[in-house]
Amino acid sequence: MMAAVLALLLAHESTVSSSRLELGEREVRATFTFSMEDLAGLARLDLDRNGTVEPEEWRTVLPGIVDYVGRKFRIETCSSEGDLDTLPPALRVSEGRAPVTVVLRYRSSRPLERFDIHCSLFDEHGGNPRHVAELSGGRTIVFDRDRPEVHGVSGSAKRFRFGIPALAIGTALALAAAVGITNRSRTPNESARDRRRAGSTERP
Amino acid sequence: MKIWIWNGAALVTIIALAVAWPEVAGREEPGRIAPYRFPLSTAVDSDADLDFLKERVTHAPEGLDLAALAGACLRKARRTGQSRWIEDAEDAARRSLVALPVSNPGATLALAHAAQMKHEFARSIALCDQVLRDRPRDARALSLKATALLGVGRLDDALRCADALLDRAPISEHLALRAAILAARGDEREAVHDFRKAASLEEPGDPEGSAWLRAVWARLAIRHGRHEEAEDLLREALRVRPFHPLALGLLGDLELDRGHLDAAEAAYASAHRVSGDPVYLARRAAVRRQRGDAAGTEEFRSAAEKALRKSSGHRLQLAQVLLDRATPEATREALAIAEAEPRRNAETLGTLARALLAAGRLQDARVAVRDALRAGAPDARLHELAADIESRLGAASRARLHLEAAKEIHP
Repeated sequence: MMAAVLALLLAHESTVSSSRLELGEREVRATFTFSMEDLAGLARLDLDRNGTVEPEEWRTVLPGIVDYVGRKFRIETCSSEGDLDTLPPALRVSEGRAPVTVVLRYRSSRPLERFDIHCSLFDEHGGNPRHVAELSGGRTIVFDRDRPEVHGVSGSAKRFRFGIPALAIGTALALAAAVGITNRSRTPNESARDRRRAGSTERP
Repeated sequence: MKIWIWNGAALVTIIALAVAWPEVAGREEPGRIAPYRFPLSTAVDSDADLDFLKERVTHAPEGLDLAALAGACLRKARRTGQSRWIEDAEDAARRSLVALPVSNPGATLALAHAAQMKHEFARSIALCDQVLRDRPRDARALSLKATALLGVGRLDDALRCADALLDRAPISEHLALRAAILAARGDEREAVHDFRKAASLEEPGDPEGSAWLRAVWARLAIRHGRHEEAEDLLREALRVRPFHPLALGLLGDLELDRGHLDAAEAAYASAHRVSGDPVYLARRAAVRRQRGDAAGTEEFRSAAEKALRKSSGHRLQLAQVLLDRATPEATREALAIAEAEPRRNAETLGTLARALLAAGRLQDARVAVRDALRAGAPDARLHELAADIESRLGAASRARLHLEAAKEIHP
């Protein structure tokens, strides 16, 4: 009977996934969160049919899932590989809404200054699957069927490539200026005292 | 002397066990207000009944089997949140009625239930009435009708229906339904009485319903700013049913009310992931707005707007998102939606008042907000809206009155 009361909540598609993208100079570490239900649609997870997906079973099924995610969530110019050392914990199959975390690394041969992201995760499902990607810089992108790609996402490479040399040059200039100011601000008597302390015999 | 030592040791052991037991047992502690008294379910949800019925109707499509299949599809829809199961249920129910057009209330009620899941409340009520004409005391029809009446804001009719339901069978589920209706009417004392009684009569085997009971009870506490009570009830709901969408969404509301923006956004993100409900995208936009993140606000608001436009049952929520946008075109569209809304409850009337205020029709906004305040439970936000309207109309004393009322409801 309670189902009737619950009815008010249900007229939606459940395929919603999310990711957190940590941007490096030539690498993006993507931590995806999917529901058990959605992953169960990709592969048979509970291989021994005991109702629980154990870490060993995750180790077996994860390469297939990683391959799917790498094909459906692409970062241009990057190749993807799964971080198979980070296995999800044991989870009950009955808990279809339980979140499962899958980590992928996207590597690029050149610095990631600006790049495009393509996302068509679960587009073979009905309805309108949605993916919410949050970038380490604070930007959030919501992908869906109408918006399967985003162009010109700013990476962190630009900041690193020009930022570090600029910082070094700036520091050097500041130091030089500080030394110059200190020397210029000394009186002739102070300079002579310094020279005497240093053992110089020359008179001013 | 020895007795004192033994007594002291026993006391220390008891205290240590009481403190350490939840950790040792590897379980969270039950809530204080409405603890769930049964072992948490570890049973595996199975599709065996669905598979069995599918196979059976493939061989012999009998009317009653098709009605049972419709029911199994609706249970699956409830469990997974996927709307394709609602469509399958409707298909099976229609085929059932073709095969067995009379004395087939199961199929008609499956259609009523499916209509409710799609927020088509008027159709759901009509289908329930169809069954109640022949079977006036049918508990499932009464329950579905009461829920649909609650959905359209006909609270007096919903309460009459729930009373009839409880006269027929005073069980936990029916008490919880009446409590939700009483809470919507603003009859808080009676609602809490029914919530308590529902929790005390609760039986094992329906963790979804048990979580729902506590979540709806928590909503009442949030409305009055009773944060600790709300948190206790929501934690218990999530202990009984982890990832319960309503409990997660309300946890987001609670954290937002407390000003804990990170926790609020995390809860809304979880609620969105498990339910797929675009309303939670709009809530994340609200959190980002409070953070001062203009780009994040726009991203979530646009995604919410796009999703809500595609969802037929969310016109009012679309109007609310458009009002947040605050452009002349968005205001015009929001006003058109709010004026066309057939439901007349506190939420719809409050949205209409907001839209009229945004359109500069202050006198009409005053009428709408007064109707909204009369239509449902005391609501601090509605009083704040009324205060805004009154102050723009130059009625400062009335504005103060509403602000004091808001403070009284939600200190």
